Amino acid sequence: MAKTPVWMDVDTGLDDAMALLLLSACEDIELLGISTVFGNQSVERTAVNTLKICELMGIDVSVAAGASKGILEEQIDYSKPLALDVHGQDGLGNIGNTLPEPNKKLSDLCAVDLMAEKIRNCPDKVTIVATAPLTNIATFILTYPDLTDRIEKILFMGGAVFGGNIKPSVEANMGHDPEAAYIVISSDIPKVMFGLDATMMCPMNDQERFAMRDNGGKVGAFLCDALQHYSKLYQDLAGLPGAVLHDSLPMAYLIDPSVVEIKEFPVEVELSNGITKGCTVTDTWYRSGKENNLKVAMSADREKLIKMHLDAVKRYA
Amino acid sequence: MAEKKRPLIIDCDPGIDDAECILMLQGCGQFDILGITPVHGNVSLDKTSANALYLNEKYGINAKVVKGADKAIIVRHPRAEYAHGDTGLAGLKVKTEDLTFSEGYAWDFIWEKAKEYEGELEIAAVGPLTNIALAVLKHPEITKMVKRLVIMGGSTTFGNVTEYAEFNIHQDPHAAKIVFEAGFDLTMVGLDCCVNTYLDEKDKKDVVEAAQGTSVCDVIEDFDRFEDESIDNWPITEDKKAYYRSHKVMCDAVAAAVCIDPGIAVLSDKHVIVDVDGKMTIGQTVVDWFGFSGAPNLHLAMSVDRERFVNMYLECIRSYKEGE
Repeated sequence: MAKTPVWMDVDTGLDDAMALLLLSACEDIELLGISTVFGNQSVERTAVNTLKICELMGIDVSVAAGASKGILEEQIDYSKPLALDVHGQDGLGNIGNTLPEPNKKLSDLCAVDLMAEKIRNCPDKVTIVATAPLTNIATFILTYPDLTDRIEKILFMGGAVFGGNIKPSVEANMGHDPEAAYIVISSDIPKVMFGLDATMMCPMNDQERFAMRDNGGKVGAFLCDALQHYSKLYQDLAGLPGAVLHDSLPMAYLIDPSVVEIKEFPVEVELSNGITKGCTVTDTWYRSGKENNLKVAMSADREKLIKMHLDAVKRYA
Repeated sequence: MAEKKRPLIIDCDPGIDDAECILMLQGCGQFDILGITPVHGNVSLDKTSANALYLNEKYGINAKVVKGADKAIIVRHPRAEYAHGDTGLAGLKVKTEDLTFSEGYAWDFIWEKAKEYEGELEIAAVGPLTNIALAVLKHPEITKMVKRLVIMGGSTTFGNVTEYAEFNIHQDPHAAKIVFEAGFDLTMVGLDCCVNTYLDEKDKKDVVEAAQGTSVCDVIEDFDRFEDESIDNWPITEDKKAYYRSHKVMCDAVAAAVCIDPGIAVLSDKHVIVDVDGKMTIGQTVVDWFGFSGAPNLHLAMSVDRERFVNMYLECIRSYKEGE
């Protein structure tokens, strides 16, 4: 069977690293390249982090840096400590400096140009896995209109049917660039949203995190230690047993669709300025009569998702 | 020694006043017009781009014509066939059979030329700002590599689509906001300024007369006839019709004049914010007259010397005399 060609867009980021772990262990995927964007950290930082994680896991693909800010949003000042320190000040749980400086350089092309080149040259339609603010993907849709029909589907982590994590009803990836989210979600490209409704069901507890170290060589050890701070944050702030691996979910779905339960709804992103800007407004009762434009992961199988990580890390033992 | 020509890209949505704008920018003889980058706007992209292709040939410009965006970044607002005719160029027969577009996208072309001309490139953008905004999204550093961007758009007072919103900005408010906040050396020639820089009955006669024996005579006469006929059919009082006949507005051409010679306008540096959100005010260019909101982001044209503008337009038309 031919491998599934995939483009990844990330803001590495601890849970982005976990998504890359799943990818590295999957033999049915052909990764064409990775674009990075601001989000968990500055675009400069997420680019370096991505290169480091790729080298740690032996993923050898071109990486290009993309947007440093949302389409209309103000630039976030990453030089100051972030208000809510989720991923550590370095984006890798404050132990990114234990990884060697990457040998590979970033692509000379900007993110959307590299993406366009790889997608144009790929004989099959490409699946995009996006685990960050959707700025690069929206820019691609806007600036390469003749290539959008070469995209098989977009699997993105972001949004929530109910709830939020940076505001009461706004999830971070959507809230960091609501206009980009609007552009992607209202495009004709098939897409699946992996929002907080499903991701929050899947925390990795400490016992499971330590199992990565015990069974996963230096990759497992790094991920276990990097996630310590992140895991504690979820325990302290959310009262959950451990680290919520949001970004892993779209990748896990690509590998094994049975990991989530999917429903389809009419969804639009709220763009009016106010407490709800960036909310993925979902018509769960189908009141609007609008067409369903988005598949949404409504729940996830925690045991299955965690096992996928523990199995994936074993290849580094 | 002939002075070196200024490298220029014209980003536009022709459009009758776009055609008048391009006529001036070519006719003034100051510019090396590298490209015309049509965008959706007055009419759909397939029409604006065909019109751009035609005008490029008609005016003897010989620039590359590179297609841009066929829709706005977020909003989908109605177009303006009522003002420009179904094809966008009044009743003009636009023949493009032997003409071809250049490959690629407008935003990539603009970026490549900005790099190539190392800070010397000027841009006149007289349609919705989608193409320019997409160049900024892909290459934010472009703003420091363009010498000057002159736009026709926005207003300091009344609008022509809603109470306060002008058409070009209203067509793509998000693009306008991106461009206004990107850091260009930006000059805004707004609707109210353009409306005050009109042609009266005598000027209109002079224009048609100046066009006689030039290669643009058919274009000028066609626009003149189309606009008078359109006014006849508008559902307004005879008084108003008489007013409009003696006040021909040609917005994009006023921006061309400011591009040719900024000295024709009174400019004031202001911070102008594009509203993308208001139920009533989406697309309004909100001018911060008192400096409440931060440093100026553009040179705002407050008024244009009407007499000089009319003479400039006549001169530009005369430059198309056959055999010259």
